[in-house]
Parts: sequence; C-alpha cells; structure tokens
Amino acid sequence: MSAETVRLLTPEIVLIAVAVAIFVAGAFADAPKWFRWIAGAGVALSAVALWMQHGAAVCSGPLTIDSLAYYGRWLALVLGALFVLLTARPLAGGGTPEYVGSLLLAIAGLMLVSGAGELVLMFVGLELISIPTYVLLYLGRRDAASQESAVKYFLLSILASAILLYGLGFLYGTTGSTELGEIHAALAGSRPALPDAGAVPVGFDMFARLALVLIFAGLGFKIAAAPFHFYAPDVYQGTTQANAALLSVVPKAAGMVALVRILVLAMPGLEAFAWKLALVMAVLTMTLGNFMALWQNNLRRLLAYSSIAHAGYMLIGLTVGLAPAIVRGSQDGVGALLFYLCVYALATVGAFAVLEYLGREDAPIDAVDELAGLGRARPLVAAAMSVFLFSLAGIPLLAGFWGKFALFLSALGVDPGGVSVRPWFVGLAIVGALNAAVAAAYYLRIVGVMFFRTPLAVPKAEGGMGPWLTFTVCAVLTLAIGAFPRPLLQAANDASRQSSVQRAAPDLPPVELAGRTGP
Amino acid sequence: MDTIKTLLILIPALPLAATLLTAVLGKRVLRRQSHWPTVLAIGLSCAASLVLVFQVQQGIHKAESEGPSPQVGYEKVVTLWTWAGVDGAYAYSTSEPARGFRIDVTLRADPLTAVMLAMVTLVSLLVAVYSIGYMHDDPGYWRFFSYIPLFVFSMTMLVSVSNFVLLYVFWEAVGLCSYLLIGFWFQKPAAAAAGKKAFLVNRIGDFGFALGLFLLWTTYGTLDFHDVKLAAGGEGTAATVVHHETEIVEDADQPGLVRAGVLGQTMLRDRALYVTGGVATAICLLLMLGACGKSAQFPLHVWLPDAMEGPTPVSALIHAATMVTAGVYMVTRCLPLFLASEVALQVVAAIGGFTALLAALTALTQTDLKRILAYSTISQLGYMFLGLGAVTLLSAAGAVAGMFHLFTHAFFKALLFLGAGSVMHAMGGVIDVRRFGGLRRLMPTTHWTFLFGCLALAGIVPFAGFWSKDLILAAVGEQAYSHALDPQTQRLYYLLYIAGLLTAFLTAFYTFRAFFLTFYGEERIPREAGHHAHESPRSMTVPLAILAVCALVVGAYFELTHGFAHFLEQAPPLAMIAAEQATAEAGAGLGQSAHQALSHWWVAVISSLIAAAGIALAALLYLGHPQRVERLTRTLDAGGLYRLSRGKFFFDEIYDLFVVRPLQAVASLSFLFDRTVIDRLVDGCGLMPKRIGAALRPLQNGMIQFYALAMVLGLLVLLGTLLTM
Amino acid sequence: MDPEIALLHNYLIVGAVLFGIGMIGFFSRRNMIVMFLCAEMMLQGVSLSLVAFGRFHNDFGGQMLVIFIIAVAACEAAIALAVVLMLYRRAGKLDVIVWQALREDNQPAFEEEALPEEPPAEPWPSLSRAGLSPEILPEETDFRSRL
Repeated sequence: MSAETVRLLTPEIVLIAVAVAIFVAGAFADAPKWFRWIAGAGVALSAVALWMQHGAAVCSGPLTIDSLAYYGRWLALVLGALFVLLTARPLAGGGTPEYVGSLLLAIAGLMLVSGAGELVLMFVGLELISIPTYVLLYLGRRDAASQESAVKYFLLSILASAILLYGLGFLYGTTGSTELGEIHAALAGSRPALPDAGAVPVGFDMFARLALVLIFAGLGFKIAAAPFHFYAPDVYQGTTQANAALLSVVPKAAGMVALVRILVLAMPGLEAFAWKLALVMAVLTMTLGNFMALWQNNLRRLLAYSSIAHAGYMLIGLTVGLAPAIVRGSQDGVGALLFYLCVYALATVGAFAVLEYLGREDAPIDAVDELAGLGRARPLVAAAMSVFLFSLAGIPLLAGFWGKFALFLSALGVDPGGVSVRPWFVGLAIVGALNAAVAAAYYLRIVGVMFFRTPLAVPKAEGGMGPWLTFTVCAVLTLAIGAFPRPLLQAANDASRQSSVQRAAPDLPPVELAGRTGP
Repeated sequence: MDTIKTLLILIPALPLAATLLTAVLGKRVLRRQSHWPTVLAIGLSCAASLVLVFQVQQGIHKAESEGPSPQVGYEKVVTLWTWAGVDGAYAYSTSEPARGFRIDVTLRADPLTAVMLAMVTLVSLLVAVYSIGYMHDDPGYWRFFSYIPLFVFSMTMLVSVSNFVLLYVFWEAVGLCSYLLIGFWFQKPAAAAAGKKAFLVNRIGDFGFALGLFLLWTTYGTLDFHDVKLAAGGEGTAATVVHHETEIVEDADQPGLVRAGVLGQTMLRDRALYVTGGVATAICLLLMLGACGKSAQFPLHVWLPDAMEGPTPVSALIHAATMVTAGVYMVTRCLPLFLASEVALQVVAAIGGFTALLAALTALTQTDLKRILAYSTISQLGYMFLGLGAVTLLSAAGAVAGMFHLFTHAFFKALLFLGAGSVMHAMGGVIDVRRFGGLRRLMPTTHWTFLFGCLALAGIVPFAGFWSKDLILAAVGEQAYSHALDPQTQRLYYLLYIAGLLTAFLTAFYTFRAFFLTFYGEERIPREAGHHAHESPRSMTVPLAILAVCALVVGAYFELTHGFAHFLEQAPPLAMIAAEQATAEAGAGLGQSAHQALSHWWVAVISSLIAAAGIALAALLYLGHPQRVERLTRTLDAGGLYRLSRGKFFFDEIYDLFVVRPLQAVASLSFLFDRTVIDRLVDGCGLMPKRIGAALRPLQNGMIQFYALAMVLGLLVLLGTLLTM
Repeated sequence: MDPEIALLHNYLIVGAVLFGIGMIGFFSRRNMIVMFLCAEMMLQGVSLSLVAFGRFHNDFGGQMLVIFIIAVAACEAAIALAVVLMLYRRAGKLDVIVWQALREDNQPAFEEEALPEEPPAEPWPSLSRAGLSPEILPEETDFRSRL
C-alpha cells in the first residue's frame, strides 16, 4: 500500500465516498430526488479521476492497472451512469438513499474486480457487488415476489461465494501466494510453489485443477452459466426492471473479467483441460438458455434466459482464450468476449429500460402480450426495442452481429497446430450459430407482437425521462457500434492482448512467519 | 468536355430524366399532360443523335484526310466511372499476374452506334407523338408515358455501352420494359399471360447469353469491347483508366500498356488473337441463343405474336422497330467473334433463312392484322440474320445489308403497325381482318400510308424495303455462287437463297392480302366501332405521314448515294472485314472485288418480279370472288397445309406438350416432396428445441434447495470428470 | 512424514468436513436462519483450510483472506438477518419452502406430504372424584367475571 496505490484507486474511492455520504445523509435528509444527482455527480467525478490517471500499465500493491482494467472500469462507469439514469425515480416506500448508495457500491465493486491483481482484493470486489445487490433486490419493491427473489439470490449467492472461496483457497494452497503474478510464476514453474522440496502434501497435484473447477463454478454463478444459472429466471422475474438490468450486467461483467484474470492470465499449465471445461459450459449454457427462453411469456424471465444464453456465447470466447497458446487464431477469443460483453450490456440494459419506461409504478410490464401493438401506439419506443432485440439476436449491421461474428471467428480461427482440437472449436462455432438461429425465434416473436398484433391496452409509459434517456443512449450506441464496430473491437482486443498479471518489478521477498516451529 | 461525350451522355440521360419526372409527378400533377416530358426529352435525344451522326461523320472525314490511320474503323470511347471492380479476379496463365475484373461505365461512339441511336430515337419520337392520340382516354396515361422513356433510355444505353456486362444489363432492362408494356393492360388476362410468356421465353435466350459472357470472360479475361489503358503498374495492379476519355488512337503506339478489349483495336488489327475452334463456336452459338430470344428467331419466336396484346404503339416501337433488333445489333457488333467460327455464321444464316420462311408461311393465313404484322416482323428479322450469316472475311456486304434492312424495316414496320393501330382505334379495338373491310374511303390517310408501308415491305421499287432486301438476297446469292466455299456449304447457301426468294413472294402476298382485306371490298364496320368510325386525329396521322415518306425515300436515298454503306463500313467490326478484304485484294491482285462485280441487276429483277407476282396473286384472290379463296382453302386443307399455317405450325402446342407439361409435372412432384418430406423435417427440427426446452422446464421448480443441490451436483460432475482426466 | 505436512492434512480434512457438513445442512434444513448458518459453516471450513495453507507456505496471505472473509461474513449476517426478519413478518414462518412462487409457470407447487394421522393417545388413568366440590359464593363469581 502506497501513495501510488491510493492514486490508482481514486475513482473507486470517490464512488465509495459518495456512496457513504449518501448513506449518512439519507438518515437525516428527506430529499430523494437529490440523491440521484449526487450519485450522478459521483459517477462523473469518478470518470474524471479515471480519465486523469490514464497511462501505461502499472502494478501497485494489490492492483494491476492495465488495459483490461481500464476497459472494465470504463465499462463499469458507463453502466453506472446508465443505471443512475434508469433509476431516476424515487422509490415508492422510501429507501432511496440506500438504493442509490448500494448502486454506486456495486459499480465500485465491478471497478475493483477489473483492477484487482490479487485474490483478496478480487474477493472483496466481488462481495462489494454481491452485498449491495442483496439490498437493491430487497429495496426494489416491497411485494412477496420481490422479497422471494431477494432471499433466493441471497442464499444461493453465499453458497456460490463459499464455493468460489474454496477454489481460491486451493489456488492459494497450490502456489503459496494471493498475488496473481506470483501464482502465475508458481504455476508456470518459474518459482518454487512449495516451501520445502520433497515435502508434498497428498493430492497436491490435484489442487490446481480443483481450484480451477471450484473457481469456475463460483464465478459461473455470477455470470449465470449452466448449471449455476438456476437463480436467474426466478430472481429476474420477481424483481424490478432496473434490478434485473443490473443483475444481468454487473455481476456478469465482474465474473467474466475475473475469469479472464484468474483462469486465462494467471493459471498457466492447465491448457489440457481448462478449455474443455469452458467448452462444455459454453455449449450447455447457451443451449439451455435459448431452449428454455422459447417457452417464456414473462418478459423479465425471457430476458433472464436470454442473458444465460449470452453468457454461453461469451464462454466461447473464454474457451478460445483458454485454448493452448500455440493454437490461437487471428481474432482473439478474450477480445471477442470483452467486445461482446459491452455490446450485450448495452442491448440488455436498453431492453430493460424500455420496459421500465413503458411500465407504471404499480403495474410494471410483465408479459410479452402487454407489448402488443406497441409499433402503432409508440413507434419510436418499439423501434428502439427492436434495435435491442435484433442486436441480441445478432442481426447484421447491429452491434450484436459483430459481437457474435467476432466470437465465432475466434472459434473458427483456432488452428490445428499439430493438435487435433480444431474440430471441437469448429463444432463450438456451429453450435453457437445454431443457437443464434434458435434465439432469433423468441426475439422475433416479441418484435412480431409489437408490430403485428392489435394492442390490448396502450401502455401508460410513465417511466419518465430517465429510462427514456437510458434506452435512447443505448439504442444510439448499439446502432453506432453496429455501423462502426472497429474502435470498440480494437479497444477490446487491446484489453485482451496487452493485459497480463506479470509484475514489472519483483516484489519484496516473503516475510518469515514468526511463529512457525517444527514439532 | 467535348461534343461527342456530351451527346453520348445526353442521349440516354434525357429520357431517364423524363421517366423519373413522369413517374413522380405523372399521377397527381401532370395527368393528361404526362406526354410532354417524354416527347420533349425524346425529341432532344433525337436531335442529339442526329448531331452525333454528323460528328461521327466528321470524325471519319478527319481521320481519312489525315491519311492512313492505324485505327480500324472509327470509334471513340468515353469512360464515365468505374461501376465495380475486383482485383486479381482472373489468372490468364500462371506466368502472368492475375487481372482485375472491372466494369467501367463506358459509352462509345462509332457508326454502328450512331445509326442505331438515330433510328431508335427518331422512331421513338414519332411513336411517342402518335401515342398522344392513341392513348388519350387510357386511365394509365401517365404510366404509359413513364415506361416509354424508360425504354428509350435502356435501348439507347444498350446500343451505346462498350462493355458486355452493361450490354447484358440493358439487354435485361429493355426486356423489362417490354414485359411492363406488353402487360400494360394487366387487368386483361391475355395481356398478363403474354407478358409472362415473353419474359420466360426471353429468359431462355438470356441464359444462353449469360453463359456466352462467362465463356468470353474465361477465354479473354475481359468483357470490355474497347482496349483499356492501364496504369504504369501493368496488369498486376488494379487497372485504372489513365484518362477518363480514352481515344484509342493515342495509345496505339504503346501496346504494352493496353489491355486488349474483346472487340478492341488490338484484337481487330491482329485477328490471330481470336480464339478459334470449338470455344469460338460455343461462344457464338450462346450469344446467338440470346439474340434468338430477343429477336424472336426460331425456336424462341413464339413470344412475339402474343406480345401484340400490348398497346399498338408499343408493338410498333418495341416489338417491330427497335428492341427486337437488339439481337441483330449484338451479332453485328460481335462479328469479329463470329468470323472466328465458320459454323456459327452458317448457323446464323440457317436460323435466319428458316425463320424467315416459317414466319412468312404462318402469316399467310392469320386473321389478326397485328399478328400478321408480328409474323412479318419475325420473317424480316430472319432476313437480317440471313444477311449477317452471309458475311465472310472478304465481304461485309451481308452485314451492311442486314443493318440496312434493320434501318429501313424500322420505318416501314413502325408505319404498318401504327397504321394497324389507327384502324384498330377507328374500329373500336377490333383487329380481326374478317370483321371489317373497304375502309379506304373512311380512312384515306391511313389507307395511303398503309399502302406505302405494304409496298416497302413487299419490296417494290423504289420503296425502302426493295433496296435492303435486294442487298441481302444479293449477298446470299453471292455466297451460293461463290467458288471459294466447299460444295456442302455452297448448297446450304443456295437453299437459303431459294428460301429468301420464296419468302419475298410470300411476303408480298400476305402483306397485300391484309391490305386488300382491310381497305378494299365491301365496306364493313364492326358493331364495337359504333356510328362514328372516323379517321384518326392529327397527332396520329402526322407520324404516319412522316413514316410513309421515310418508307418511300430512305432506301433509295441511302442506296443510291451509298451513304449508309460507306458510313457503316467505318464501324470497327465491319472495318476489320474491309481491311482484310483490302489486304486480300492487294495480295491476289484483283482489280475489283467479287461483290462489286455482281451488280445484282438480275437479283433485283427476279425479286421484283416475284414480289409483283405475290401482289398479283393477292389481288386475284382477295379483290375477286370470295369463292375462289374458299375453294383454294379447301384444296390446301385437304393436304393439311392450310391448317398447319393457320395453327402457326403448332409451336405453342408442341412446346406445351414437350416442355411446359413435363416441367409442370416435375414441379408438382417437387412441390409434393417439399410439402410432405422437407417441410415435415424442417418443422420437426424447428420444434426440437422447444421440446427439449419443455423437458428441461421441471428443473426450474422454484425451490432454493433444489437449485443449490443441482448446482453442487453439477459441480461434482465437473470435478469428477476433470480430476480423473 | 513431515510433521508440517501432517498438520496441513489434518486441518485440510477438518476444513473439508466443515465445508461438507455446511453444504449438506444447506440442502437439508428448511429454516432460513439455519441455512444461513450452514453457509457460514462452509465459510469456516474454507477459512480453516486457508489458515492451514498459510502456515504451510509460511505466508500471511491466507490469514489476510480469512480476516476479510470474517468481515464479509459479518456483513452478510447483518443483511441476512434483516431480510429474514422481513420475510418472517410477511409469511409468519421461517420455512424456506414458503418462497417458491417464482418458478416455471407450468410446474406444480411443492406440496408438503401430509404427516400420517397420529393415533389418538391412550387416555391417562384417572382417579374417580372424591369428596365434595367447594361451594363458591355468588359475589365471588361476580367478582371474577369482572376480572
């Protein structure tokens, strides 16, 4: 911990300080509207701080601030701004300051995870997302469904946290360090992993793999990958649109970045099976998500399955990233993943923002049928919704198309290189493409309902300016990225290529643990 | 920007502008005045075309006065912009770097194009003026006047582009206009069916044409007519035209920097560059298939008679004077290719001669005035192909004659159709010659102008048809008596010559049969005409009169001054033959070429006598007692000949039986297969995800503990497999 | 065997057992508070392993992580108890089975199997009444009725 570390953490510190200030002020002041402005100002301030510290990749204390970190932190701040806009309406039953503060904390958590170069900080970052999320879920609405979703998410999340922690524990046990750089060195064999040569605990060679699976499972819950996805449909259905948007984006982004940091960058030597694990999860996740989504009538539930399926698509990129280094093709798998993450986040937040805009305080939009005839009643809103759905479906010339294109391209680019892994990746790309075709069915069904059905009742659209602004920004960005995908794709590829966990300067030698004695 | 470039752009651009203007404003703003943009634009185009002819003429004179030029014929190529380009699309050989595929939008000015442009725009102008009167009550008035300039645009582009791809594009575009105009009265089932038939039959021809283009591309590596100057980088780099205006004369000294076009100067100067043998024959036959479709030659002639369902001005313009001659134009343009294959030329001649005779025989017994004229169009187009087929390396006379016939035919056939339209207009839409007669007093102008057209078509001195038909027969006759050919080929041309003479007789007969039936005999007017059957308005009779004068004078004027032939012989494809001829004559030391030796006086006499005989027979039969015709009909019918001709040789029925029905059977089988097998399979595949989804739904039962258990079980399975791997 | 290794083994085994017991408890208990405590027990198993690893590697990192785990667990406990309290107020039960309304809409709700009817208990032997019942004064009953 040094002044440099604090300087690098300024954006997060600003966010957390603003959040704490809001929490404290909320106890005394009764001005729910103002908290939004303060939160918005906090996000803007944090963005300014982040902008000012832009520079070369540095490692300081527990932080690894490289291009991946910047990508994740900027994504977090953009999402933060969108969520502050999206939740611009004071909560009905009070609790607005707590809600806004928790939102900022979750964003700060995502930023911490992006910049973490150390297991402890990463764990704290992930919990800084989870714990405020419990509060958000509870505060969103006060009916039984909302409370049920809160308790479901809470209980399953701590179970997943325990599994993740166990994995981190085994990772620590194998390598003897919580620093990702040290872990990488130990696993790569450039640093002795054991204190005494010759004394090997039983099953020590299994620990790394055990850690891999447990970490994958723990983070798999965050990204809603099968078979750790079960909470998602129920929780999304029960909670508010804004919370569903948050849940479908922020933990997923954090989980993906953490997976990249730990599995791809810090755990070498597991090429033989890490990609197989990711491949199985990818296929399982997208297939299950899409197939189940075909049956849904509740929009939030449908989008929950859609977000599961999209986690599956993103895992394609992770699979390619985990493939042995010699067989990587031209399009970077992790780069494609990061690009897709951004594209997916925009479309999903936009879709939920449309729903939030259309709903009423006491009667949110639930069923697909409630959108019937929207194309005639509110053509612009329907057009924006179509943009999001088409983007999620991967229709060409929208951002989602380029995302899927980059992912499938990365899978197809995996070269044989002497190892007969290419058929697996080609198969993965084919399964992905088939899934995209299946997915189009339920996205287009919504579009069809909006444009080709006579309206049952025109939605009141009492969402106000905030959600309107949110989905407009998302739609414009989705169209813009669709038209000019290169800058963002370049940024994502840079984030993937220029990131590492290697330390530039060697760390201090490990401190002798005082009390250690042999029996 | 020089004059020729401006003219070349203006000529198609004005009708296009008229189309857009009429299409946008016609329905609401212009309404009854919709003809103005069209008439003005085509009029200006026509003026521009005439100026272009003089410009080209001047260019030729200038080139001649400058002494012997290395250029074969006269051409000027103007590249406007590059439409599309693919680098390295074609590898000519492994030693040479790959060539790019480029489509330049390039227009050309040469005598052939100039003649076609002048003819097309002039006839179009007259027809457009005529249509003002003919179409005046039609609810689709503005629609008609937005299609006509579209056609003129496409047709002028077709004859002025300098690239096979663009030729194909506009080839299709005129086909589209034809389709739209045949089906102009689309509420009428017969018109809709005729449009469809024309479209489908043309597709067969166009398919052949497209294959021909593919073969050309793989053979020569370019689809440009003209030579293209390349950038200094040579073939390997993307070829760019150095100047947007390329005058080929300038870069004749730098052969290394020129990519030879298929019909460009480089190839024309050195004919050995043309591929011969089977490939050449295949290319030519495929192109000829395209020409057969567009120009209604056997076996693809069946669409043209049905196309008469369209408005009569359309029949006159598109299906008699201009569009159907596109095939003749294309074959003339590609003569250097056809000269590389003797077989192909013989096929062209044979198809032409056979179609001419067949169509004339069919026309004998038709009763629909427009159908008679349609068959006569097919027959005359056959004549043109016959002329083109009689071209040899030593004599371009056949081609000149064919083009000349195309030129004169445009006038008198447009005249005849417009005359028929005038009759139809007065008779309330009735066109069956059996239902009216003796109209000469009622419609004097129509009568006289129609007579001029008939005389020109029959080939009576000094009408236009006489001169051009005579030239074709002479060219074929020359082939028949040429000693340079082997006996078998000679026999073929002899037969074709006889067929040509026979056709001349038949043409004279059926033309005057129609004429006498319409205008002579007892005056009969059908009920549909009402009581006010009258001569047509001024806007219709003036074009008729102008065309009648043309039918009288164009042939004699151009033949006696040799203006047409001299002008046209400067077109690159024909100039190449002239150059060959000059070389051969210089080598053989002949003072006079063979075709000049034959001054054709006896051909002229014979064909005139034959035509006169035809007219006499028609007069004998149709001006006398009707019983004579009936007796003759019965005699002929005993042999089945009458029925054969009356039934149009049953081509439609034969095609229906052997092509349409088998295809329909296959189609219905495929439909059945598609419905019962493929659709089921597809539906099954589509339902599968849903079924699987349904099977998975019980997993999502809402119980926290079940979810936790499932997560941990999943984790254990993954752990188990990975730890044992 | 190296005593350090033996020590590590022992702690790892205890940690794993704690983790397992916690997990099984999480599946099998329906009281929400107990479920939360089971999850806490899993965390304690992890903590124990981490401490053992830290000692084995002669490194502070493990212990540090443990301290953070404890802190985070405390946060979670606070929120957990608050949420559970609110749920209890709404449902009147701590049974987690109450919260299963959100599920696929064609799935039946989980119905608890009815417990088998207990046979009526044998009546206890009772003595016959002996003596007289005391006499209650009317004013006394009036007084009581007012109570």
